[in-house]
Amino acid sequence: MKRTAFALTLLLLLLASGCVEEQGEQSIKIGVIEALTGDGAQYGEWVREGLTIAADEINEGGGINGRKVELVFEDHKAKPQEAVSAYQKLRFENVSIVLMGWSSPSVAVSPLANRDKVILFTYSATTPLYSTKDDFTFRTAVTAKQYAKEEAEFLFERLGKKKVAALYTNNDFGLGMKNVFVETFEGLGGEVLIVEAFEQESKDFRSLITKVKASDPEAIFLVGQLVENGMLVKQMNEADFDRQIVADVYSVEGSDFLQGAGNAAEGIIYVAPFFEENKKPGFAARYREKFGESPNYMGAQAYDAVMIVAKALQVCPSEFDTECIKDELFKIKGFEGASGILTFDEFGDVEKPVMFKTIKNGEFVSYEVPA
Amino acid sequence: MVWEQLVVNGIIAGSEYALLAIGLTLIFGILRLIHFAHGEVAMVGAYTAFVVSVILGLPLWLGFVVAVVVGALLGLAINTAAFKPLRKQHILMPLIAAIAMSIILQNVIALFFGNEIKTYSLGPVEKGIEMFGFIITKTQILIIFVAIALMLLTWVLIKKTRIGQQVRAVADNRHLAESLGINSEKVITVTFAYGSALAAAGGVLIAMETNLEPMMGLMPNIKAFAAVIVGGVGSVPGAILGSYFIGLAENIGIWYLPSGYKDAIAFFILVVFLLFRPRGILGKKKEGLSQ
Repeated sequence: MKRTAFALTLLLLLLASGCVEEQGEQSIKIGVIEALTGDGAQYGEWVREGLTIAADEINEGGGINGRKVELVFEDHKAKPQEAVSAYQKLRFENVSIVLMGWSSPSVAVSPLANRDKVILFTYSATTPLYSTKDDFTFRTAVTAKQYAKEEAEFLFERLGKKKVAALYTNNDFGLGMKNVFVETFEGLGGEVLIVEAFEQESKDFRSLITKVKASDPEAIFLVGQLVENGMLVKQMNEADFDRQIVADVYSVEGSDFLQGAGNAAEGIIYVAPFFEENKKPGFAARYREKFGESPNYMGAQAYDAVMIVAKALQVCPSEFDTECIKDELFKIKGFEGASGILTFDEFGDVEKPVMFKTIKNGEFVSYEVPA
Repeated sequence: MVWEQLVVNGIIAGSEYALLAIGLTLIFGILRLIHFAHGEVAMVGAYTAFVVSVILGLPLWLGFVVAVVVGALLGLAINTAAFKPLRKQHILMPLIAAIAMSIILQNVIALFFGNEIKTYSLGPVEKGIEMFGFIITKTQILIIFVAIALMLLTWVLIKKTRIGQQVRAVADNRHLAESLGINSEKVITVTFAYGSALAAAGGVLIAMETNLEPMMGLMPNIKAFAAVIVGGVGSVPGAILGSYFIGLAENIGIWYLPSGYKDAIAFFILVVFLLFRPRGILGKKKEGLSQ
């Protein structure tokens, strides 16, 4: 018994020393928590592609200070509780940098990341709840404060709609957008006749539509996920309820939305980040070569998250010195990313130019003001 | 205008739930088993029709027929693989096996078809038909009629045929039925095949109205389960009644409540029934859990 214990201790010591020795050559692990399955899987696919391009680019260029980057993917299925267990799993694997998507999951993980001093980066969460001052959480996505405000001004000023309905998905993404929208729209002097939520992954919107239709709005503010919104817009059309819909890029720009909404998608106007492929031609070319399609805003935001972390890592002694990475990230000014020029404010947020787009013949095109 | 529409919405939802609830309640009746993979049978049915109509380019009605057959076969396979070997085990064992089957089926479908949504490319979205103060689409009318037709068929099979009589006998008291010479395994097999065929039919109809994805069977099955409890476990008319009750309550309820509470209404009703009337609307006084 004693001998076994001794042998075991020896073995453990050996293993432990082995770890220390090897660390210099080990790859830098970057955790990724995203919706890889379920209704939100299409976003996850874009993210995976954008991140893969970033990791390939870094590794082919010799890595960060000679060390390769390794992405460790975990699935949160668009659910905050799954995100927390995925985060704990990554912590167990000693990951000190985590990238993630979606508002509710990111908000659920951010206090844990700050407690553990883990660098947390979101490339898609919009919720204002994520903005906390001077800490370990950052984002490369445009926030709800910018998107929903633009939408409210667009509806009120450019389209001249004074009475609208607001429909939102019942999570932090929908809630954040809806709150900013209602506040801005009412501040402008408009009236929000009815505010209705629907659950994530809902499919039956018939009675919600009946209710909204009865309030007779001039236009509709919509925020939700691609799959739900596709169903909702289709059912609105079936119910002979035809109003101008104003939404955002997450809500409508994707084939999952078009699959559901079909021809009812035509004419929807939405706010999107000002994303131009030629900002980073290398990224777009690589992306097309590897995945056979053009990158979109999401792929670009995910790509930027890795590249900006890589930049900070070049200066810091190791990926475990997260205080150093955090300070370096705040120092970065005017980073030229694929999704635009990035400078973090004190909350770790970015502000980027936005534009309005519309759906025309099943294509996502920039919105031209009708003459 | 509003009220007619809400009632029709409730009937559409109830019809969808009922197609799953009938199979669930029949299977519960004979095996005392909550078939958690029943929604996945519906999902596989929907994907079968997708293969036939979209990938092979054949008409959708043919896809529906093939889906019903595949659904029945899948039901048999699940019974043979997951439940039959556990017949003598504790009641929780087949329950866990059902959850396992549900996860396996979701993942197998995701493996072959991916997680992204699919639709039956039924052409452009059309405005519904306006009648009697409400608007309804052709697909929704079809759903209601197919559901009612299948309910009548089930009623005839249960009440008027020999096998239906045997199903009722086994559900009532399996040991007594066996001692009278009824082959209970055969009855179980038939029930699984029939219930699963109905679920597959329901899956195709739900997919026609909405879309297809590997998790599509989950929520309808939970609603159908609630309908079974509310209607009275083991009772076919009860399951149908429960389905329409929940469908109507959800759709009329959100006129007064915020729409986000739609699913909560179904579960609230479920909890109320479990607390105050556990045998459901039509359940027998002494529900045979005491085998």
